[in-house]
Amino acid sequence: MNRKDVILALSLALLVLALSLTITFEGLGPITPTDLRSIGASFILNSYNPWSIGLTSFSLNAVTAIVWDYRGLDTIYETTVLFASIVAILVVLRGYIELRGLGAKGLSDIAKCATKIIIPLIVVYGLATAIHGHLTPGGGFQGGAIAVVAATLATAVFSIEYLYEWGLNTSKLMLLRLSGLLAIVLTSLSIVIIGVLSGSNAYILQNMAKNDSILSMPRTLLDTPLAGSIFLYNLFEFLIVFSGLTFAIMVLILREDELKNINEVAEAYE
Amino acid sequence: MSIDISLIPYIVIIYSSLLSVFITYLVVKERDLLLATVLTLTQGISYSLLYLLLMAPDLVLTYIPVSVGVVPLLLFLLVKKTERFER
Amino acid sequence: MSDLLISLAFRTAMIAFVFNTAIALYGVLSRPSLIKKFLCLIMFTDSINIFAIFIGFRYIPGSYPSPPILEDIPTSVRDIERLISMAVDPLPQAMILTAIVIGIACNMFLLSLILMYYKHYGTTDIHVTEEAEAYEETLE
Repeated sequence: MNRKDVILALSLALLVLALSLTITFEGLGPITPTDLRSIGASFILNSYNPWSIGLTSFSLNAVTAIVWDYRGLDTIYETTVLFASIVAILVVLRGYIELRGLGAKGLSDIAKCATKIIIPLIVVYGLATAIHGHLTPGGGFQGGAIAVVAATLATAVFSIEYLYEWGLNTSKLMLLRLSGLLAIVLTSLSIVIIGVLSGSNAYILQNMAKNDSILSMPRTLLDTPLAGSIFLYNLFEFLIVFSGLTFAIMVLILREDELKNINEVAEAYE
Repeated sequence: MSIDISLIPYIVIIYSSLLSVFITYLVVKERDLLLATVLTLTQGISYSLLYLLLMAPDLVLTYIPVSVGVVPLLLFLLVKKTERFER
Repeated sequence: MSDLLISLAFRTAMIAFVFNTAIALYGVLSRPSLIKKFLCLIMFTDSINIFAIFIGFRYIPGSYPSPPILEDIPTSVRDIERLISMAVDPLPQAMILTAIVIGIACNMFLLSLILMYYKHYGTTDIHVTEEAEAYEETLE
């Protein structure tokens, strides 16, 4: 314990003491209020309301409506940040190759047999959570994160050699990722294209009919409510999160022989 | 003494907050990095119990696979490839 | 008695999150191993996220609040009004969802950087690296 650590610990203790006293005597406001803020109440009021035509989005889940319809531009930028981090991993580990036949066993036969039964069930559960995002708690990120657990289980129980034998390599996952991102951009522009072709007013990222534009995405599918573009966004976001995180896991699990090419590529460019 | 049954959520909020403070202290003190990863996973479980009691079901469904499934697996791989004991 | 317990529960939880933040920040700044710094960074961001969800909670005397999800279709005006009087604020939940996903993205990138650091220097201990670099400068 040298002197810098002691000074750091004392100043953090002082910060904790000051914040605790402020919170206990309600200096930062009441701890839990008894009614909602007006903007939160208006979001819940307008998220499924067949009587307010210009503001509703026909989705029973208020959080999904906020994420994909009322503040949809934030979510598209966040998908781009996820894409940028995957590209950054690819740049840092540039020059890897994928070798087969290096010899790996995985765990025992009992573990492999049990995992083969569970993996399709986990993927189906993730897809179901993603599709029901506008009716129950769920959505694109939730379903994609659940489905990635199946991929991590596969890399831990089987080794990466078996994944190569199943035909899964990093280029295919990157292709899936890029097609999902393209599909999201096309969905946000789809009503604008229809509006330009038919000569009526339309907005980018539009979901339902507004006061001065009569085009809208489909509202029901045979008899269940379908919140228009929110359903399509959730489906493509599931594909994006699943393929992106599986790609990151497969790149970070590469063995030493496959990674030894990186230094040569870096020196060849200098 | 009899406990009113509608007070149980508040008692569980107190319990999981105090447990998370204790586990955080143990993570900073531990030198074996494998045990530190397992303790971080346990802290994620107590936080997801708190998310459930604060009525945020979307966040529970996102937080459990991320904090208990994907990130600890990558950390186990990284500890295997680098050093296991610090200092 | 029950009012005392409820206000004690909320105050204890908030002070516990402040403690968590401070201990995790101490762990980031003063432990010499890179992987330990990474673990404490994950705990730091998690504590701040749960602090933000706490702001959106509400206290209804007599019953417990509900998540912001409508339950029956077709709805009536009374269902919507009852939901507004019982539901939790949905806006902090949407913002923290975005924050969690961006946190995943940054943590993945940080892991690959730690791997490349180990391949270049041979150790993940920053004190050993500092001494090695200082020794190399004295040789020049």
